[in-house]
Amino acid sequence: MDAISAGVTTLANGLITLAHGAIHPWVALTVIIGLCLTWLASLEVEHMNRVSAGKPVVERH
Amino acid sequence: MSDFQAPTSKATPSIGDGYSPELMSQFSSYKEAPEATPPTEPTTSRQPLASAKGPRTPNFKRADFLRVEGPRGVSARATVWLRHLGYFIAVILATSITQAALSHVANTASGGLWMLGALTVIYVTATIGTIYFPDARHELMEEARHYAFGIIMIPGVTLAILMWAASHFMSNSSTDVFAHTLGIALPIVYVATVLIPAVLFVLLVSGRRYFSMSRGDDEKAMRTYTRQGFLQQ
Repeated sequence: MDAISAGVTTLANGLITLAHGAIHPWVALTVIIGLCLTWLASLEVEHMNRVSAGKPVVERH
Repeated sequence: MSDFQAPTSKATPSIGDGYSPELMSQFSSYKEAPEATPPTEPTTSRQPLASAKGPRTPNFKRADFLRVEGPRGVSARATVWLRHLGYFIAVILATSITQAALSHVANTASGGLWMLGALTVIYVTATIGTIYFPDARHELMEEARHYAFGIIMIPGVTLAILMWAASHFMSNSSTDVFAHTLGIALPIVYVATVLIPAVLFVLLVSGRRYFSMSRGDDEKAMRTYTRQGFLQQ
């Protein structure tokens, strides 16, 4: 629970800093897109691993 | 009853009984009968997969695909990572070109940043959508790619170059009606091309639960049912 609250606090502080202009919006948006693309690529690789290992490809409905 | 003798050599009949092993060895499904004294040391040539015990086996190893697919599996996964790296580079290039083209155009001087923001909204929405709708992950990725590249980036870059050309090669005098009209109309077209699809994508993903009977559902259902993944076909 402490880790979650610390993470939320860090995220909120980051957004406040971004809103104040301390972080360049180009950098912030590029990093966010990079993280999202990393997540999507890892999902695709995880799907391939599951198919290869004979695991269910759909976790839940 | 005293004549009854229990079978000792073979408890259950198998395929190929009564035929010579040389004759039956041409069939792939034929297996020779095990010898009377099985080898005491276990062979290490065919170890079972760690994940072959069932879907609930906790020791699921990602490197299992090496046993099944070999080096080809590594190259297939590297292709996925390189493809997404290419998407990332394409996003940076497209927004940079757009920003450079629109930096001196009135009303859309921050056009590249708008495009980057719209792409961020699309990819963040797709990421959140894959968490909430795990059975539609493949379709969400395809839709995000279609929106990002097909609707926003390529038309947006084309429009930005057109606006740059219009602002450079047409006179800036207020008496040029065509240039004045283009100066008003093109920024509106740019906003409609770049910003509105991001909003529509958010609506598409948030309403997926209710519009579940989309055009890709039958294909996805068959892919799931036959266990044929999109890169395994």
